[in-house]
Amino acid sequence: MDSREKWFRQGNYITGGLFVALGLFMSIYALTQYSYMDRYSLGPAFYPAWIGGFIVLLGLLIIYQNHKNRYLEQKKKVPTREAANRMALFVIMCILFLVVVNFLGMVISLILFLLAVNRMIAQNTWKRSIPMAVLTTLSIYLVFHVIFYINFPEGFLGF
Amino acid sequence: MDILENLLAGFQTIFCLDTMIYLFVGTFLGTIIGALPGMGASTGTSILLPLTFSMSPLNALVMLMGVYYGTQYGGSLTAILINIPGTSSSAITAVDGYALMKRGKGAIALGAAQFSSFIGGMISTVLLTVCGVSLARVALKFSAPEYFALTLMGLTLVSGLTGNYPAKGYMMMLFGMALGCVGIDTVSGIERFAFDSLYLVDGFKTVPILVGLLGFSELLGTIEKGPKNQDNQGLTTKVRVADMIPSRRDWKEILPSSLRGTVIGFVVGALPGAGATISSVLAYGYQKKRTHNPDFGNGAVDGVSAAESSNNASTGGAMVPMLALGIPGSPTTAILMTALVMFGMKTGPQLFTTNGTTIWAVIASMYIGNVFLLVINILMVPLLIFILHLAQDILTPLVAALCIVGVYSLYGRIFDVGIMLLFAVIGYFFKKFNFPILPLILGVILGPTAESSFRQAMVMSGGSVGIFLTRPISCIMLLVCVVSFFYTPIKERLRSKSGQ
Repeated sequence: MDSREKWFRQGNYITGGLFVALGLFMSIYALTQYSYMDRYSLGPAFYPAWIGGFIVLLGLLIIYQNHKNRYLEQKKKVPTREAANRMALFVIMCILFLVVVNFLGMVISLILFLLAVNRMIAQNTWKRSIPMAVLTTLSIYLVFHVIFYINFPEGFLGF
Repeated sequence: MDILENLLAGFQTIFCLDTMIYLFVGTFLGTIIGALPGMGASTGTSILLPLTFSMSPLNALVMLMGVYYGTQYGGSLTAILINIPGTSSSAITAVDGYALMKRGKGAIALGAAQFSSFIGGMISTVLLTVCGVSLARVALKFSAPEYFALTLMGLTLVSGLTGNYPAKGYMMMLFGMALGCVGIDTVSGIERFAFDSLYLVDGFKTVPILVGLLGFSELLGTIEKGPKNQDNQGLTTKVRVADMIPSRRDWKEILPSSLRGTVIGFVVGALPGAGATISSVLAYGYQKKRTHNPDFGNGAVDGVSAAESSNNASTGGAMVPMLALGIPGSPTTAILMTALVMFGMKTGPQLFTTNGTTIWAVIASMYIGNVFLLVINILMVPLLIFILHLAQDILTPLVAALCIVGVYSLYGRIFDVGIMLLFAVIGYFFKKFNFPILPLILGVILGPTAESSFRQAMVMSGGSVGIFLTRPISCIMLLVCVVSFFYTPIKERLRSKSGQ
């Protein structure tokens, strides 16, 4: 089994296992925290308990089928380390944006976010990145805030 | 004859310059609003409603209606061009539309979307004109058991979307249904799986999940390939208007699927609470059963046309309960009804009697509005593709910014942007390990309705499941579900046996 197949198989095991865990949690939590039957009807635990139960069953089936190598024929490309780093960097940038937006405001946060993505992910030059970041942010501000009255988080500068 | 006379009088009323201008503005704005992710018809109409205070009732209604059905045209543009559905009803369009775009057939996809939207919009307006009132009486017979049967029909369509690995497909559908458990239980009013979080009390909203799974996870895939990746060479980069006109061969696929989608969209749209999203799901699933196209789900023109014709037809259908009975079937029609009340019109069955001139004029404007939308969108597409091609180097940050702001604009919560990001990462891994996304989307959209209608039906029947079989409409739909569920596997088995 080559590394691609190994990675793919491990991924299916982990996904199946996570689904089993999710299903168990859903069913047990629902049955212990909410009522299965109310006085006049099915209670709030009915639906999540059954959905959770079916998720557990299918999760186990997926794990079993994966063990029998049923999924290997459609394995996909494993991301390289460089690609994985790029994606992780992008996700971190998005998270940072979510953290700072309420402090710096949407406009400044978006400009910084676009600048960072342009430079570090898309690898554009400063000459291209700065106007793009500023113009895009201003266009979005004009369309969403000025024309459609969407309120954005305001930072210490008031916008 | 009365209908025809009223309609002609309606056309006569709207053929004046200012009404035509407002109609054009409404349809144009509707296209833009529909294309922007996170902005939907309800947001657009609610924002524009105060602006109509100073207008005449006819001009205001014509403009607001133009925005309403214009969003369905616009939603397909971003769904096909960049795999980000502008409206949740365009999520299904993105599946085949974007696949066609990546194979350099974006012109065909966009043309199919616009023409099938036109077919859906026009035919549904004709159906509204001719049989709106009669259909409204049938729509009144729909109650919880029928809604449950309807959503079950949608969910059984998963059987045709799981490919070679049904376990993974059904798992994704169940996962989507599980996501619908979070938030306030609509039957009992209890918070479920909220863990005392103010955000989770509201549950997961559909649009952030869809944008995350489809558009934002696609961005991750693009980032994975790198800034100078060669894989985009097949992408459609230039489109002329002539390229978007379907060929005779394309029409053989577009026309039948559009007609089917239109009927499904109109009927489902007429059911209060059903809406464009459910109708596009059902139409797509039904087309899946009927198509002979091996590319269905991976870039089939009839997949695009079925979804688009039905979501446009549903707007005509949604007018049925609103105008004939005074029942708003969706947030958008509730806003439109607010406009009616604002202008002193009494909603309900007597609307056609007390304000017939205005209402027939509004219906007449829908015919002209659909023509405007076809022309606007056909002309806009080459320009959009040209801009996208120019902006390819900056496409990733541009799309990321649009997704973030679009999702934020829905409810003004950064939490929704976080959900979008979470589902982007989840969607990326699902695609890597061959877990199909479409059943997940089906589960997210249909799961909550399925649960609430089932439990309400149980309340109605005092706990007996016989209610689903004793009510004729529900019984027939459940039979269709059973046949539909077993049809694909039996057909495949018979096919493989005859092949041997």
